[in-house]
Amino acid sequence: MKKELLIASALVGSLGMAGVAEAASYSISGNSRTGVNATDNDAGTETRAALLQASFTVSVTETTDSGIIIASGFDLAEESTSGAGGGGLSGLTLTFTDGSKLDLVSAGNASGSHDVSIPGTAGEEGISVTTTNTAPTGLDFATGTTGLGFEYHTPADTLMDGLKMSVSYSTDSGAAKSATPAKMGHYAIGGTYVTDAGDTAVTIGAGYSTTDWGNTSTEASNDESSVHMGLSAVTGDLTVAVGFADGDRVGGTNTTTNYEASANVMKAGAKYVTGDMTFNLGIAAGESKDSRTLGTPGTTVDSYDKTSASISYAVASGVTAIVGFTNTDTTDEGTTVDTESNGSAWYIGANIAF
Amino acid sequence: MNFKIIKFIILLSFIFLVQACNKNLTEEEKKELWSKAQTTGEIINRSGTKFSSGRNKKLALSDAETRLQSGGGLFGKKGLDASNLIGNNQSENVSIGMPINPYFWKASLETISFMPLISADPFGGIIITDWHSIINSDERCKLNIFIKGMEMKTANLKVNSFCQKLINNNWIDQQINEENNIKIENAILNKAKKLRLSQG
Repeated sequence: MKKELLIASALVGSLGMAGVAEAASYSISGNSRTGVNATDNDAGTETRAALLQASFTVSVTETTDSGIIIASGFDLAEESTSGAGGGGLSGLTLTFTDGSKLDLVSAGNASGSHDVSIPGTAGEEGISVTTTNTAPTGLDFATGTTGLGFEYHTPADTLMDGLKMSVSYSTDSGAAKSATPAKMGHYAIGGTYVTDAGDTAVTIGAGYSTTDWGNTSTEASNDESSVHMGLSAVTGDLTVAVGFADGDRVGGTNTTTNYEASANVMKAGAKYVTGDMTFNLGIAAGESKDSRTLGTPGTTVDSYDKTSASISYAVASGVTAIVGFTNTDTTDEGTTVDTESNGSAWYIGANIAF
Repeated sequence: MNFKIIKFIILLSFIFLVQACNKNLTEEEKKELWSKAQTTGEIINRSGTKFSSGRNKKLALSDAETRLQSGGGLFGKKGLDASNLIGNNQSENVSIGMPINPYFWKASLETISFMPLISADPFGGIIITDWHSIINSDERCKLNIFIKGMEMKTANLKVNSFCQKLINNNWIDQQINEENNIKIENAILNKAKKLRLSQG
């Protein structure tokens, strides 16, 4: 134990003081996505925009004498589009000698770690859908975490050959509840099972997550929770995958945008690799019955149907060129009242990883 | 909510029911299976991306897919080693490596593992097989494989195949089939590429 603590101290000091960094190794790495995105919605509005997204990460790793790997790091990100971004600090990851892994602080959701990857466009294109449409497009749509918790991943082939499982838990910060719903904690479980059928490698992924949301007034009818399941088959250069998720969502930023919803999504896709080229094709169909009054379940349906395709070419190690296309059809509260949320978008650009 | 838990339990039961599929797998077969697992967590894990899925899953998955498709990053799978940049690497190891591309070498040996070898020289990059014939066949072939350098490029790999046919109890040389040579070269190149992707 003493040895571990001493090395952990060296790990903390290594970034700031290069001279004492023998105990830990650190690397810098990054990702840049540059391209042009064009959208053409059914309201007749055509827009074009340059898309510049860059992220940079510093990673620190230490292997103890006992073989346990301790890793941490931080991101710097600059993204000109909405969505994921901003700076971010990494928690700690401990990788044990048996292959199991423990993420501490800023850990993920065990259910979200085991959703099957459904092929779809590799580009950054997309139509901006009205914020009142709560229909999901991802299998991990209700896999929240407060960050104050852990995620534990078992080694491969746990309990039986081909099975890997994860559990995660997070709790609230102790801050007083407000009128806006906030995550108070979650627990989740997920699993991946791999097997083969002749020359086909089959992956089954599934997970269950429940997140408690709290607010000062009437709370949502149900906790946010979801179950997802997916199946993927890889035969030679062809990958085919399907998946679905079903659950309840909660969200909002103020009393007028607060919502609860009962939602589900079905996705399917195929990927074909030939030489340095990769073809992706995917569909997603999400539905949601939402309500702006917490405690009162919704009755009318929001929908979000997306069809996307892309061709990407591996130009060099770490560099891919991408052409992508996405078509989106949505309805909000049962009708297509918002034509700006429908249409198509294309993307041409490049991803660079270093 | 209860319905969701029931569905999850049904799924787990299904997994236990199909577990018989994975009986008697070797360690290598298990490793091969996991290398093809298609959940987002597994894709991120094996890509070598340094971005954390707990922090930003969309970014981590995008970076992972770029790295897996293109064979790593601009500075290799492990990024740029900052220890070397500031001259702080005090654990330099001096080793004598193979003067030929190790992925080509390993891929060549795996690709022709069904054939008997006469000679395999890792320093000269030359693999020569013995004559090999399918049972009850009147044709036999042998291969000479040349790996010419360290860089992983097609010009550094050359395969020559020689075939003979049994006619009147005499083995008669056949015309060299360039198409077959290229097919074998492509098989080795593909295997080498997969080895590189899996080992980073």
